[in-house]
Amino acid sequence: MNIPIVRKVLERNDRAAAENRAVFAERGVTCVNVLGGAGCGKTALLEAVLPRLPRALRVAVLEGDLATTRDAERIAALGVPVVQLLTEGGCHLTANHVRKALDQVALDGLGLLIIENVGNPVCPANFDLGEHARLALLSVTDGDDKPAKYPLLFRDARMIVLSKCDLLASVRFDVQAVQRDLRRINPSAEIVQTETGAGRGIDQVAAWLEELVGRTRALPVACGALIGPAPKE
Amino acid sequence: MMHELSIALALIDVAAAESRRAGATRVSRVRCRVGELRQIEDALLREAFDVAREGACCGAAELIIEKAPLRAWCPRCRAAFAVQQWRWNCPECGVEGEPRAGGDELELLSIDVEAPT
Repeated sequence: MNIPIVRKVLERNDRAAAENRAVFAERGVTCVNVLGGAGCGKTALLEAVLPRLPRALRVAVLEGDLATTRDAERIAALGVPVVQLLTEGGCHLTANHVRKALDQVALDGLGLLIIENVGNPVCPANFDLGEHARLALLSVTDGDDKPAKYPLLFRDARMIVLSKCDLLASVRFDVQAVQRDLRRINPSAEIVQTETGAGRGIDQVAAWLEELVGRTRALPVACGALIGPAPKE
Repeated sequence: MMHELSIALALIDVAAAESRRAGATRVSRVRCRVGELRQIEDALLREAFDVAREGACCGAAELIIEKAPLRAWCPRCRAAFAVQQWRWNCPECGVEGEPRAGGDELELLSIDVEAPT
């Protein structure tokens, strides 16, 4: 007997993500999911951007890693509260990982929660964590073929950072071709070129985060309910 | 672990829930649709499915994977085409296609169950 169904395979993760989103809405927290391959400069971007955010905006970071607490230590050195999430071999964070980690985050008065996902250009993009927006990175040393190779990474991002642009002179990276490829899958994302050493583009990323927090706060408090109750099995 | 294992586990979860709802205990076929954007390798998904289904109701089920391509629209031919290998030009006339939605599907389409006894 054949039973036609059509159900989303990742619906359990999507449900947990909706629950996270409801927690964020209730507490007035804006959540950003930062994605990109290993070594593309996710932690370096946070190190550059976090000190530029206004003090009144309380920020915390969830650090997703396969192993080691090195990235978390770099964030903690800035005086920003950080929770390390070790996936122990898992190649991506799931909404459930985040839900469990939320117990360790002081959410009262928190304005912005940044989740640095596991360094991996493929798997994390498949899993909604309950974030309000995604920020995806592509470093110029990764190569200009990456939007074509990892389109899902960039498709749902609201901001795309082209990092390590100080190295543009030393590598073959066609910025225009990359922008054209990115626009095919994502016509609306803000695309920023950054150099963390010289500080180029960092203010733009900080301003985007601040604006995102403002826009999320302007949503009605009950917006968690817009997502709707979890479907019954 | 690649994401194929998480996805295989989730697929079996949903298939099991549907077979329970139908009052069946054994699933003989699981059909799913996977968009190209998901970057799920058939071979890896099959391997993961073999590992993940152990002891589950899908123990002997055949896995059928339908692929859903990235799509574009040719303004000259007024027809949709599949974007293969990131080639955005219409295979008929060579004009650059306009991106269309889709390619991100990840769905359980149907299950075949043995009728409850």
